[in-house]
Amino acid sequence: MGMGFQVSGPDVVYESFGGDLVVLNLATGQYFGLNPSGAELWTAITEGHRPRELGATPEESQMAEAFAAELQALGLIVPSEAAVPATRQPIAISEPPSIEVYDDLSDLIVADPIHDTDAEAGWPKMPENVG
Amino acid sequence: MVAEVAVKSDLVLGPDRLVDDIGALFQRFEDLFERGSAVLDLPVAGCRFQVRTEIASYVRFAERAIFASGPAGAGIVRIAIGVAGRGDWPVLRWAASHYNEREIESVLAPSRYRLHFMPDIGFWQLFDRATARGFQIMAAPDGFPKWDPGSPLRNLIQWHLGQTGGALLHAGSLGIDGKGVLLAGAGGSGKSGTVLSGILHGLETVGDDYVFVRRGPLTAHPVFETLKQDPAGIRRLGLGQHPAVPQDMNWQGKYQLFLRELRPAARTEALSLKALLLPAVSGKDRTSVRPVSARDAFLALAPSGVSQIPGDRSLLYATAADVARGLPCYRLDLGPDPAEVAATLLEFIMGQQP
Repeated sequence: MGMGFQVSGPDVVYESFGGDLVVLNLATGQYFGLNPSGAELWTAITEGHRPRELGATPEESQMAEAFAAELQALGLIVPSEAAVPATRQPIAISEPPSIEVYDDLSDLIVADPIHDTDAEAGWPKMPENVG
Repeated sequence: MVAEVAVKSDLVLGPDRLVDDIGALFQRFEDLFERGSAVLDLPVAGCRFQVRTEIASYVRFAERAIFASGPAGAGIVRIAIGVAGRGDWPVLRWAASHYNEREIESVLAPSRYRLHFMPDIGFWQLFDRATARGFQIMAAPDGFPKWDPGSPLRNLIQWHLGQTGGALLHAGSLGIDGKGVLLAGAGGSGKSGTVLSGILHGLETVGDDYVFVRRGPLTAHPVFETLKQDPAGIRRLGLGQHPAVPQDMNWQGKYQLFLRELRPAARTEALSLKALLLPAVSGKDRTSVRPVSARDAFLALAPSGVSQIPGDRSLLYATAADVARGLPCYRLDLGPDPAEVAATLLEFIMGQQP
């Protein structure tokens, strides 16, 4: 039947912008951008729906499963023991879901570094002398 | 005898019982606050802040850098600043082998307390949101982070103001007649140069670096007087001989300026926000404005503030999203002439709905 998922914890916050979704993992400082298909799947997956049951066709459900695996590998969702919610309408995936990892956002961190980071600190090192 | 006193003044904080440990520290607050002979008492974004410390020099530079704007509402935020181990001030020690800031934020998120600790310099900030009392404890009178003179008490101010329906956002601002725009962008984008261009040519501002944005009808309020600009920008803006430009540069190789010394008439206490602009040095002859998506504007606005202010990161993220969704967003391609940049912005702001 496949498993359900949930957001991995309070460290993962997200906001919607006209269909797109921007996700931030506060534990790592990493930002992710999801296109509208990815955002729609994110909503369904984090509500607990099983990815393999989300697509309108077998191919789309495979796409949803692969997307969920990618989200899990990025640490944004984790398997959930919670009961799967009632069946929802299948999602017609008009374009492949995508996740953009904004590695270049360190360039946007302007001035005032707080402190270094490392495996213990868990927050990205700010560039010195910028801003 | 001396060792006994030293041990008595130590206070150990650790992740296992952090709320209790911080509570024990705040039991000493009234004594430590009352002993501070140097006082700073001013309204910030409509809230009254009173700082007491024995470090008169800190009060002097904080008074210069913090933008007093009122009138203050009911209640008072009290902040005690001291040097660890001096007088009755305790030496705080972290009990664990390392300090994981995000882990500590998570522990304290549902609690009344906020904490920021920089182990490398022994710098502590703690805040009790329930009683609006805060500590800043340093290893020496000048034991603050190097960016602190530009935005003193920033975390403590956010931790209080964040409960009043908004957040400190890392953005500049310009306006006219009470309506205005936020300016957000990466280092080198021209944000500070744009703010300076505006205020030198007749526009108003509530700040260049951090502003408090209140939700609802989005409004921006001042928190700091400071502006920063590199030597090339100072020359381009024609400020080389201005008495407000100091002799020495700050740790970033920039000159730190103060609004009330540079152009007092540009200071205003609130701007009704009409747009979010992302300045960019364009290389073009004329300044122009073109729409960008709310997502792109959010990605320019959110990351720096979220990374720089600990303890309230989720709130800062959500507030930045509200701003990007709630305002029309534009890229501002900057021309080279400060007067032309300001004239373009004046026309743009005047053209926005009241």
